[in-house]
Amino acid sequence: MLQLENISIAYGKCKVVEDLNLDIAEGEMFGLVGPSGAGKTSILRVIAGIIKPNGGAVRVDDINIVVNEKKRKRMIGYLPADFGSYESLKVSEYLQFYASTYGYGGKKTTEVCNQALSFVHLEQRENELVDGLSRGMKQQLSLARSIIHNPRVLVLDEPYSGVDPIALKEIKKILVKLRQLGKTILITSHMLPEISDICTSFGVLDRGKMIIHGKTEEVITSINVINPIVIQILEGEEKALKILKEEVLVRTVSIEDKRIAITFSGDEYEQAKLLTKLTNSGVLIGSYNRIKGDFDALFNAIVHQPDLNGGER
Amino acid sequence: MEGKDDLNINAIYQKEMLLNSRKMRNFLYISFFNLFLGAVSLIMFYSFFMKSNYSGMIQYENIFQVFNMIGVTELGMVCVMVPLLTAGSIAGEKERKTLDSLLASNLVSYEVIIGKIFSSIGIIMHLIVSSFPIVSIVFSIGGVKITDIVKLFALCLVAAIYIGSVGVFFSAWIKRTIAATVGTYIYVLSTVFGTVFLVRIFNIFWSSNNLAVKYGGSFEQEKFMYIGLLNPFFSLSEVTCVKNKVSSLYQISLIKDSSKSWFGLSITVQLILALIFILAASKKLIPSKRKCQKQK
Repeated sequence: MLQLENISIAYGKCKVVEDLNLDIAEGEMFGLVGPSGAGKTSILRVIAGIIKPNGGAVRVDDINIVVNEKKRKRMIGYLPADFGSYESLKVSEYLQFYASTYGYGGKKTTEVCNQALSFVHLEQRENELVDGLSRGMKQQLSLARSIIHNPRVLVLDEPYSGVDPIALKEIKKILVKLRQLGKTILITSHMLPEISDICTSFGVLDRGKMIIHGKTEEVITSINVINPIVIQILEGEEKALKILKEEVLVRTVSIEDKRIAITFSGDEYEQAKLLTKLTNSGVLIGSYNRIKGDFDALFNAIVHQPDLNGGER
Repeated sequence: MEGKDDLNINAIYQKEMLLNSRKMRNFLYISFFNLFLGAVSLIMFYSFFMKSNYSGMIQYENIFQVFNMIGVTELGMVCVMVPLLTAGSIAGEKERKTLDSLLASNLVSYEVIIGKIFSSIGIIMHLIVSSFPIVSIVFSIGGVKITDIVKLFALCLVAAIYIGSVGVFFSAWIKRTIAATVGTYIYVLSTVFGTVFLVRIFNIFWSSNNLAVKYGGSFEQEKFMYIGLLNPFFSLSEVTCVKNKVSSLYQISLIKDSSKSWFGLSITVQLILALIFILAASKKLIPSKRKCQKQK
């Protein structure tokens, strides 16, 4: 549904994003994570049409929205990272203004605004000044603004930024509802645990390149190099350490009590061979298991390790 | 589109007028402007016509000087206020972090620009209409026609559009309110004073080197007045001066009664310039078109 084809973005001589390809199916919620400066906001701004890419295309249902401005404005709902408001405007007036920018008028304006407000649970705040709302409510209002024209695709830049836990929960519920309504959502965040539990798929962006992307469960479980293997040694600890340190496919070795944790870049077959080597050397193994990595560890390892799967970054 | 606003009023204009109506400063603008205009008019009226107590003679043409001063005050107000109202239009949206949301909406860039300009014109129109009672002092003795008043107000409107477009242009290109305001004022000062200075300097040079003799009279001098077409006060002198009209502003002798409508010419030039500035500002808001790879 939403396809990014060879997207390149540069600010002057500084290349921010280079030949990015991404395909998000309809109804998916895709979490885009990465460190500051990775290019997440630039990608969202290209999709929203605020900046043009240096190369590539953004397609929604095979329509290149980089060149087709009218269709893009109807199809895309954008929530920027910073909430901006106009002083002295009430919540209802704020939404009515944005509804009018999409061509709504008269009774239809009131109808769509009321619908948007009740969707984000702000209907009781319609006569309050926007400036008087809390940060979390402003984000909810911003979300209402981005869906007021009933877009098919939502691009949300750090919707959780600066909100309290209660508001965060509220925003998550709203996003899940939107996904259930069939909206395709692209969301960026630094708060990985919050993204991981509602996103159906996610990608990690670093220095303008997508390092990894896919279904959430697949990414979590498929990266062997990230998930440590913990081996409980009953006897032959020193021998085990020597073998493991000499092994090319073992990236890191750490020991605590009699438990050795390693990160291993080989496949399951190579794992089995390593275990066999240890036992043949007289090492007595009590238990062996792979820890399912958490997202923070995954993120840090992917972003900071120079060579993830033997390829260059 | 279903539910489309029947009046098709620009959304930016509507929002800006709503916000402006809630600000105390507009009330203060109207109050202080009318106080100042009233003071100037009454002082001039008193100084010209109370002298007749002593001389027994009334110089009726002095009313044109009152009219001229009213015109200068009103146009001066436009030149001072419009940059303040428009130079922060686009830059302010960026500073408030609302520009991205506007650009992502269904509005096209020129609609944003036009909405901003017309909201500032709306305030200026409030000021001008509120000054009607004070301006009507010129009818007390006669001599000033209603068409002169209409021309004055039309001139103020054109000046508001012209200077407003300059303000929005600087706001779109510079994207910082203070810098854009300074840029707009520099442009206004250049056209108002700079053109007069240039033409008078050239006139001195022309006269002192006997170029009139060499090039056949003052006819060629008249061509230098074209630079004045950029100056709103140039148009004003056509409306409010009884004698010597625009030539007195630039101190150029017109050897023949020029049939040129300097007023019509000047407002046409200013409106064309306004259009150019509006287009340039709109272009700046459009995401820059970079070379895209050919895609099917």
